[in-house]
Amino acid sequence: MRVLPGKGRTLIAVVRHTLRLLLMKRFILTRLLFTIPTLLGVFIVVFFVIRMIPGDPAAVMLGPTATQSQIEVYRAAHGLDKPVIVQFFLALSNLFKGDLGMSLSHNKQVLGLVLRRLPDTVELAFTGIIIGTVFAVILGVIAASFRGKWPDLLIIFYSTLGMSLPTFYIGLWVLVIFALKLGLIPVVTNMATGLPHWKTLFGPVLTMVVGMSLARTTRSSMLEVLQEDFIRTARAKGVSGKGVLFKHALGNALIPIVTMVGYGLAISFGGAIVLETVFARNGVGKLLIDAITVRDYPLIQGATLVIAVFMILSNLLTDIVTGLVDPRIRVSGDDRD
Amino acid sequence: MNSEPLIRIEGLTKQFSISRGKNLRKAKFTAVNNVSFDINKGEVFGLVGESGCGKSTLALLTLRLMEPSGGAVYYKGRNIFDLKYNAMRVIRRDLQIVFQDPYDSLDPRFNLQQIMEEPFIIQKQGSRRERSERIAQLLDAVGLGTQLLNRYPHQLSGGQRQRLCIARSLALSPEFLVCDEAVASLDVSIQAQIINLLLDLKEEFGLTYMFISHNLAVVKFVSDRVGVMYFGNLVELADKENLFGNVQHPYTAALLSAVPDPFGAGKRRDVLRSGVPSLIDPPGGCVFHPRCKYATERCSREAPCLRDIGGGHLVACHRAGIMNGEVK
Amino acid sequence: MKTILKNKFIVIGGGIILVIALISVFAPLLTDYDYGKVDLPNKHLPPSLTHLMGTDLYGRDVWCRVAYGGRISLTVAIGAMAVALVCGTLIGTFAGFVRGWAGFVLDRINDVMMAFPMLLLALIIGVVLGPSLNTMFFSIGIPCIPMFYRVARATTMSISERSYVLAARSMGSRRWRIIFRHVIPNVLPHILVIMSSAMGGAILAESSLGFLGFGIPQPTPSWGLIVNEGKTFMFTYPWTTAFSGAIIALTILGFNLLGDGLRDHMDPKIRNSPGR
Repeated sequence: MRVLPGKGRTLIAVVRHTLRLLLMKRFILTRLLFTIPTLLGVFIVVFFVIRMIPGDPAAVMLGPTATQSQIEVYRAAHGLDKPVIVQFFLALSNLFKGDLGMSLSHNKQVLGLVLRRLPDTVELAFTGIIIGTVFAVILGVIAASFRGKWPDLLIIFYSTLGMSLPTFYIGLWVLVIFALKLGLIPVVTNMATGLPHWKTLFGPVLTMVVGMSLARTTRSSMLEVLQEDFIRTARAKGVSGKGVLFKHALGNALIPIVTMVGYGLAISFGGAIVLETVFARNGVGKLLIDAITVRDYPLIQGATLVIAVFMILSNLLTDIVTGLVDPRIRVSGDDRD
Repeated sequence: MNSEPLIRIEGLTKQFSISRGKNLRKAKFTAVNNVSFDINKGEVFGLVGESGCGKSTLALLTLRLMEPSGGAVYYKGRNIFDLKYNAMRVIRRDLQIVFQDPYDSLDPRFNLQQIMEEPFIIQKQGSRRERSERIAQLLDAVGLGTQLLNRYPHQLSGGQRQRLCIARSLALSPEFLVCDEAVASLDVSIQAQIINLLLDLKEEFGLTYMFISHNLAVVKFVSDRVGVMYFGNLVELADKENLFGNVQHPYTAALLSAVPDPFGAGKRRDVLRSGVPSLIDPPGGCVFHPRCKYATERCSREAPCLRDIGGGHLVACHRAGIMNGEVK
Repeated sequence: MKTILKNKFIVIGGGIILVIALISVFAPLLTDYDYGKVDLPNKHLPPSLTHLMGTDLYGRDVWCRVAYGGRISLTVAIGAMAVALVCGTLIGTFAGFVRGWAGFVLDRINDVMMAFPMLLLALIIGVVLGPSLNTMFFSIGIPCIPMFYRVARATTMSISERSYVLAARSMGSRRWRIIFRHVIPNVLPHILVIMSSAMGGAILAESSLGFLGFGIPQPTPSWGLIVNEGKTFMFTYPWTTAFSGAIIALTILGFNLLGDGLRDHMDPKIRNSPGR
């Protein structure tokens, strides 16, 4: 890429080069384009659902202690006396300005509140997924190698059980055992200070790992791949048992696993809501729960929006990564007769 | 032969848009390109070509199971694409089709009785007794016994299933039957049986066939007139003797030479140059020219029209006649 | 029928569900206590012959509350499934058959629904509708629609390409007749496979909502609520939470096993059936 003289031209050249890169990955662009209506749809849903809550929005937003004049002021200030469509576009334009409204219970900007808590939740979800997946892969490999024998059966049993235990239940037991009985981790995380960071994560992550059913999936994924023809070819070529396992089988079995991790990140957000309540962590989940409890509607709206957007983006990233890793997804066969 | 053909296909074109290609614009590819021919009442019209040449698409268009991008199909003088839904439903009784895969053509959840009744139910024809009688007649005509009525498709053999499909297609007393590779997925010995059955039925019920196949030997046996398709285009059309005896289009010649001949040891085969053209980016001019050994500069510029070189023998080739005397 | 019973998963899973369902239905016969009656002097009694699962913080018999709680949880799960199944299948089939603009729009709507974690969506809808038995059919049912929608749509799309659908069209069959006679019956096996697991998910969602305090309000016992009631005392008087949580886990396990068994049972059928 020849850098042309002049700043403006350089910028254009960079933009053009990036666009070309993106266009070549037509797949990425398609995915990106599709997320826009989804994001818009999410905003519409959140906006209108909040407005479906029965009662006068201003009175409801300000709570039962508001006086009539306060309600009037609020209505005027937020344009609640204008038609709904106008309100919608007002909210949309506010969104682009980064204004998600003011929280009633915290008396601060919603966006700031949420963003400050987001890293905690992401940290939890991410760590949980990574460790859980590593654990599950190991178990899955063991299970696949000892197919039919006791390690396999034990792993299947454990995995099925883990999948059936509700997250909050596992969490409570973890809390009882590790916090109350053993005193290793804090009982109420958000009040604990001066602790090594991993201790705050230990409880929730352990819960997630126990509750993940991935071991079964990795096991069956491995088994499936091991049956495939190209494995038999490798064996026929004389590759050793272990070589077959790691080099050929695992690589291909990893594709669905990568997919699972990616999408699991989004799904584990739901679990994070519960976990943060059980372990009293200050993440977005707990923020949302508290907001719902006190009917802090602007905060409910804002937190929901942020969570949904995060999920969409993380799914998008997973789609792209999966597409890059698995060429079968990128180039879809579409030949007609 | 009647003066007016039963089916007249005029300028039939079908394009698909697929979202592929280096630009963001959707690419179009032409599956059927301006195809015109007639099918006369009582004849077997054979349609031949490689996989992907558009024969099946043409079949679906002829029955309006797909909407065309252009052109018309006249049945008894009326353009079926102009018909409204209800009028089309009536015409559908006359135009039927037998597909290649007999298992795919039958809903596995229904037994033979239900499968055979379905056409009558859809078209609201006949009382229960009339239907039973007719079903028994049809099964008999295709060589299936009524004791099979309780069976399910998966309990039948391939040949039996295809016979069932044929019986079903005859239920509404059609005039015109499209056989889209109707024998291709059957065992060779069964193929012969089914072909003979189809010919018998044609005589018995006065049917007209469009017989589609990629198997030249079968087409030669069965057809009265034959059309050759290449890449969505009709390149040659003639009656049986002329097509096989006096082949004019280089592609047809190549197809013929590829038919294995147990007695032709040492016969030189016409190997086609280059490969199958790209679907999205077809060659300019004559669509066959990159692979044609007689191609000239004109062939790469100008697409040839289908013209009559005598006796109803139509060829779309600038160099028609070049092979006279060369190919047997 | 015999092959169904030979499948271990189906038998065990189905058996568990059956037992729990029976307990819920016949709860009044199995326990004499009143699940709402507060009896403070008897609070936190450990499990014994008179109180099989002990008593909770208000002195109420835990076994009694768990048994009646089964009614709530199972009813909500079934109701929510019904909502999700009917809506998801019908809309998904329509989208798969019609495609074009309608299909595109429905897909986007589905994407939007899947953009929310299931629990979050259930919470939001619950806030709007208010917590009661009837509304929970929707607050849990609606988030479950996407999974049925996706299966129905994908299956329908491949079925509509099949020759027997073309054959029906060639005979002049009307579109709706094809959908109801050929498409939906062949979509249903695929739907049934995920139904059992979906039920497990519904139970999980209902108990999670109950645990968080957004489920059916006191004194109606629902398993999640019981878990929540006992959680503060888990270290000293664990039985309230332990038993109620265990029942939830057992029920979900039952549905999961049943689902696995059904999937294995259907698999050869599905491999040979239309839609593949």
